[in-house]
Amino acid sequence: MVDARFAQRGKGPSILYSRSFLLSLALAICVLIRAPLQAAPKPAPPAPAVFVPPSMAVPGLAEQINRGLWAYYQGKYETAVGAFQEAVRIAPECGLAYYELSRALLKAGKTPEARNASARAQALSNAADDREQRLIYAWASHIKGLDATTDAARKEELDREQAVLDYAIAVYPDDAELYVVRSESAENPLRAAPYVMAALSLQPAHPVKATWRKPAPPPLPASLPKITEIKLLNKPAEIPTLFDGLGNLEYKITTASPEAQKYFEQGMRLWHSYVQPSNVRNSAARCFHYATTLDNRCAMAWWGLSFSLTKDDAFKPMDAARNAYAIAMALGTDKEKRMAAARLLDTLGPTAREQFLDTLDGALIAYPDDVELWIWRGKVYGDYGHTESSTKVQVLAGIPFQLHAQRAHPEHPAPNHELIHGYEAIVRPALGWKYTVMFRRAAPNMPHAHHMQAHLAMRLGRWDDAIDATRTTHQRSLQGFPELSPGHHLSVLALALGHQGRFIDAERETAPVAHDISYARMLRMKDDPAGLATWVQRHAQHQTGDSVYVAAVLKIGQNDLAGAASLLKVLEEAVKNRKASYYQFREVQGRLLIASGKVDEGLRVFRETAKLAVNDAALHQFGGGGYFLEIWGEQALLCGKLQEAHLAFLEAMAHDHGSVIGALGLQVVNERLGRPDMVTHYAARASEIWKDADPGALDRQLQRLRKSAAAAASN
Amino acid sequence: MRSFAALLITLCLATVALAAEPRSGLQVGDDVLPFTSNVVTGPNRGQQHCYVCELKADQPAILVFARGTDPATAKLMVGLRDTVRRHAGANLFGWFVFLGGKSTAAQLELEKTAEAFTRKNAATRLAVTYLGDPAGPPGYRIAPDAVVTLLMFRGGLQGHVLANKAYSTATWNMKAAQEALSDLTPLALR
Repeated sequence: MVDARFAQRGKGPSILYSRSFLLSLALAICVLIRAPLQAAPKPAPPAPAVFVPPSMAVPGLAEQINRGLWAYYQGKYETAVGAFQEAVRIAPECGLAYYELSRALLKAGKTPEARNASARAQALSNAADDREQRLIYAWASHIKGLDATTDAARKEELDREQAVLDYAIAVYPDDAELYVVRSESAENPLRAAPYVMAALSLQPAHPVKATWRKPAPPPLPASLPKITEIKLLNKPAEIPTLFDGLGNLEYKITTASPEAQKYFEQGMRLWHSYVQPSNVRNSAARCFHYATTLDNRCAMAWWGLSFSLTKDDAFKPMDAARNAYAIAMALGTDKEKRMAAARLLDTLGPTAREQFLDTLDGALIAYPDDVELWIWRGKVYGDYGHTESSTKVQVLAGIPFQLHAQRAHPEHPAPNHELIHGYEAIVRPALGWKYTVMFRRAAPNMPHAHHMQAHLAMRLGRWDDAIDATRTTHQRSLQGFPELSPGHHLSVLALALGHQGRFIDAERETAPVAHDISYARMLRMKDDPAGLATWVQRHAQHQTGDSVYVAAVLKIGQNDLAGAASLLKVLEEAVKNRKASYYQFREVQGRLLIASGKVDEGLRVFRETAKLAVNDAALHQFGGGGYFLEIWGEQALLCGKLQEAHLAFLEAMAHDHGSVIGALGLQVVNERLGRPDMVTHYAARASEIWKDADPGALDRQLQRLRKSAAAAASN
Repeated sequence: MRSFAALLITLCLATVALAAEPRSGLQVGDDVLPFTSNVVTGPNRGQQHCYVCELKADQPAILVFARGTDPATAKLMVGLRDTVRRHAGANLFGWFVFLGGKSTAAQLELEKTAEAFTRKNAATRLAVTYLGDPAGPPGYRIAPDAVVTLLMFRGGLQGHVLANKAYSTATWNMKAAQEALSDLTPLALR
């Protein structure tokens, strides 16, 4: 069969074909003859596009920046400068292009020009996207640090640069370039190495690969003394139980005892879930302790124990760290020697901080596939860092390491756990959500793994998830799996079940915390004044801020305004002494003003406090995202201020997507305003939110709100 | 007789076209309502944020509720991106909210899709968020059959909706994307 394309050719005038064929042949011969003479250089193939393109969509810009970055990472700084200058010419409003130009200029030794380019990048940063702005701001600190006249000022700029880049990595965790840029801000090649390794694992084609020289792991620190004596521990009074399902974690250590290996691994699982104190049954401390008695020459059991003990324990963390070091030096593998040395340096405090980090980074470089080293490196900042920076900055600095660990071992519980805390600390709950799912999966029998999801779920308005997670936590706790604070889970469960109108379940399942404020909140949702009165009586002997608050709210409901006023004074004092919540004080104050006829003043209290409440991360974390706004709406409804109630209920739903009071309040407001379509809409929302509520609960809430609105209308 | 038939056919077609366009979202004259959604782009990335609450008095906004990442939605996103940039002085707030399912798996997927789509269309300067609720924010009443709903308003919570456009699968295409933006932009910049 003849190919159709060739068959078609045959139909044309043959003379033309033959003439063009001859011409082409002649041209080809000419080219072939000339080629060796002139040897025109082949145009370089375009550099592979491995970088995030600029946010500014200007033709040719992305290509120039890509070309410049390839040259930059290959050490061809003049070429990079040329490419970025071309980028700036193409897009004179692009801050990112000036930023890249500034970096290349500095590397090319043109510091004044680099300063100018950085200043220009900052001036244009309003037109950049968030990622680009973070890069530009970090670089501005770098440039400012060059001009710093004191070490303290230089350090301040460096800290700022690193924190901005750590933040950038936290919010764009899959962006390899950010890790590479972060490595350039590191104090030395050893500190830089983990960032480059993380970048290359994310993007093996990144050009930094060609020029980066992995530093050799430093030798073990010579400063540590030779330890010849170790202090041993007696067998614990109670032998810890071994459990299944506490975490997908296996870690082979040097020990002659298979049992010690098992207890070491369980200790690690518990340590990673913060169940570590020696006064808790089956805790990490107890598992490591027992492992040391099964094999007192197991360096890593002592190493683990050193993390789980506190200064309150008779056997101190440093005692355990010394034992680990002495044994590891005699019997351990190279990795164990490094880990034990690092831990001993860590226990020496701030004076040995840099040596400790050198040793740990050395271990990381020598054993980059060891996930425990990455987790530990991240925890250094997150948990027990010795820096004087704020907690938020410390947590932030740990996130890049935990992200790498999580990518390398998504099934490992620890990085998922640490990242949940990390994203909570920097108030990015939506970014942390996926790690709550992974943590639960990684440690199905660990109560704390489920508990963590409950907090984020309440924060994100995912109340059914909160109930499921907390209920699982409690079940695991009842089954005897180790944990820190079983009572706390029940408090969360009371709060979540009450929020969802599941009062029968709440009363059945959370009775042990019937004294807790979360239980009182549940009773309030249930509209149970008698239950609340009993709750207050429970606290009659020992008043707390919570009990004064609940009692005051009850008194206002009973129209005992004088009694409420005196409790308000007690509450005000308690707030001053940080023994009561500011929101509770403001709620009672607002309610009392309204009940006293000072409607505008009372509503102003709610309005002003609502502004604080919506931005209070801690309040959201404990399920209070919409609470204050709901009360504001109810009070406005009670006063017949329908527009204000409308806004307050909308705000309640905005800040707690699962606010049934918000939905029902809007239903009632729209009934009053004569908007039947909106009434139907919000009624459907409320039914959806309380689809699993107790029979009749939704209607009772609706009638309560309708009664408030009707009372206002009749006044 | 022939012209009467033509008129009849035209009326029928117009009726079909009108019927195909869902009534979705806040309508012209409605108050703009506060809501939070999960932020994908910008400094609030990873937070539940209320953009409506922070719009300045008289600031124009074009808000798009989208369910998919089809070429027409890409065209709309690129068009809005360019409009915002071209009229930087007008302080036009361009905003996409991607709507999806409530489940954890659906929301994680939605976040990933929204981010990748925004990057692909070089629109990271636009406000892009997602909401795990197919019905949209409370009070907005996004119709289940509306694949794209556009609202234009001015002044955030103090403002009212000035224009509304909604499209079903049958009516959403490249031409519709072009026309929607062409119709709303002059209103927003007025």
